Amino acid sequence: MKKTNAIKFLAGCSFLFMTVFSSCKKDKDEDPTPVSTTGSLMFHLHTMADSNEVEAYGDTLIMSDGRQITVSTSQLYISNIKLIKTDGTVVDGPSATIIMKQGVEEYDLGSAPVGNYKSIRFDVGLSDAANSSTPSSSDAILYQPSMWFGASAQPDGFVFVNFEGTIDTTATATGTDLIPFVYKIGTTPNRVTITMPDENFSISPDQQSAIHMSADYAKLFTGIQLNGAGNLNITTAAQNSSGLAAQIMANISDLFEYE
Amino acid sequence: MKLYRSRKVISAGLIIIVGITFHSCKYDTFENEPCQLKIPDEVSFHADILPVLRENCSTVGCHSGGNPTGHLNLDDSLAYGELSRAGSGYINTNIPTHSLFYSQLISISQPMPPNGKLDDCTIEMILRWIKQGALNN
Repeated sequence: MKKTNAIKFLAGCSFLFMTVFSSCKKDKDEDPTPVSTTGSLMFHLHTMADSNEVEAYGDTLIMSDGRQITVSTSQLYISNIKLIKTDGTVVDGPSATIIMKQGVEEYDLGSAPVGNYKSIRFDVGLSDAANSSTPSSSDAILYQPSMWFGASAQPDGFVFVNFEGTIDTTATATGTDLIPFVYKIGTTPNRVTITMPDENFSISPDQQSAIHMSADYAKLFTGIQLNGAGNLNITTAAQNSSGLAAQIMANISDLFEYE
Repeated sequence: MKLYRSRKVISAGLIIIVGITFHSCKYDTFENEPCQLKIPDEVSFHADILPVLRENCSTVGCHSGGNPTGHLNLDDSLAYGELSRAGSGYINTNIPTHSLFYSQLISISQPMPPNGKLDDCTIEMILRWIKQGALNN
């Protein structure tokens, strides 16, 4: 009798201990998930004219000095994206080329290496290879007739920055008779590399990181006498070697700022 | 007497072991769905999302008023229109985790709100709302 009870007790204990340990098994056997080495990066970009967001083409906007402006085109190419690590080393960013347009804020750039970065660098413009290419109509980025100097992309290459509209050209910024302007900036010498100021960001495995910036096209007018003869028109590749084009190119460097 | 004692021992043993069993299983049960009881099955923008925005985002000096941070105004009357604006990228119902509205909440380097991450269940609720189509409900 005593023996039978002991056996029952042992059997009961064994069964319950097995239950206990099997119930804990899951906790201990979880497989570590491989950590990805890339995340995704996006630009979130706003098109500005001074402190005004260009929400629609044709709106009359008043800049901080009272000068009126309307915008009918504001587009530019961004390529050659590099990421600057916190230790200063530079790594390739997403290989994407994008065309920034009014009304579009989200630009998925693709995958980028995981890490901690302090800044980003990119070109406003296209690589030599892209600039000398003839895009097919299926190329959504390069097949943009408004970004060509002529009826096709070649032989003059692409417009890197296209800014068009009308603006008050009076010295006092009090005029209401707005004069048309067209700035089509292109050609390889006018490609501008922009290094943004330091502002730490991270790219985490399998997560999307965003860099928020605005492009203030009104800055393209900095240092330009608006009522000066010929100062409102750059429409050809040949005009892109002018002093006016050089001034606008210099202004492109200040176009972007973080939000 | 001995039989009685053996039964007592067995009973006590059983109680202890059953207690351990249930205790050891308790964590397993809730680990995978810690927010299950806190998030409504169908998330409502007006009832669930707006209060979060009101408390954490559309506060004075942030995503509110005439000059909102990041040109994003999340005041009650504007929030849905702003978040769902085409081309803005705030909401991506095709790839919900790529919605800027969500990815900014879990950002390590530039989290929103900047003064402290929302709790995990609130973030999960926002993601669920996006997964459910980001309706103006």
